[in-house]
Amino acid sequence: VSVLPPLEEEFVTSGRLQVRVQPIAILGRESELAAEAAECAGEQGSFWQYSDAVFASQAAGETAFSRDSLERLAEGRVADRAAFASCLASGRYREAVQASTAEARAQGISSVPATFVNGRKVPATVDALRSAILVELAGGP
Amino acid sequence: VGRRASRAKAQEPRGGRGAGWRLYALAAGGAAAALAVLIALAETGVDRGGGGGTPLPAADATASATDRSHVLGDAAAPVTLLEYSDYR
Repeated sequence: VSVLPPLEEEFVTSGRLQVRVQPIAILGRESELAAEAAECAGEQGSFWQYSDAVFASQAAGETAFSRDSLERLAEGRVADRAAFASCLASGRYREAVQASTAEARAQGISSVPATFVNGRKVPATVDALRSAILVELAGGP
Repeated sequence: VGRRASRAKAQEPRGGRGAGWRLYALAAGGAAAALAVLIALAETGVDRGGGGGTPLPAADATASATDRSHVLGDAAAPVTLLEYSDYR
């Protein structure tokens, strides 16, 4: 899950916060496939829309990701669904996802979401992150 | 679910519907600037102290070869929030 949306509304639209998201796959092959799919959507400028859809599908009861289900989620969210399917089938982001996941693990990230505000690890709750952001906006701790 | 859907709305003031590629182009420039700041902080060993958090290791993933983060928001924003997430 992600805790970012309410913070985006509060801080991003006013230009006070830049959000960076890096999907990793510490929860198995399905995570990896979903992260690859998000990268494929990103090729078409649809990373955020697709990422939202993946999270929403879980909230709606989707219990497993497969190539088919991930391709269905792309419908209406990517300009070229065939290109998306080809990208996903190619597995061209697999190595990149695995590498960034391995690096995240090496840095001690063992649970998600893991969040950092100006480089400082902060618990991934809306309240904690909002507080940390406000501290930074006030000039830092 | 609704909160995720709001993300698209948040982008609209910066370009509106169909402006994804422009956002990515802007984001790429912003990411480079943010990386420079993060690298500088890591190299100078700055410990921002306090707050109960843990400084990100010097080998910051955002400044690594494996970085493939996606960026939303203004490159000039004073605060950067990095999230590692998993879709499961």
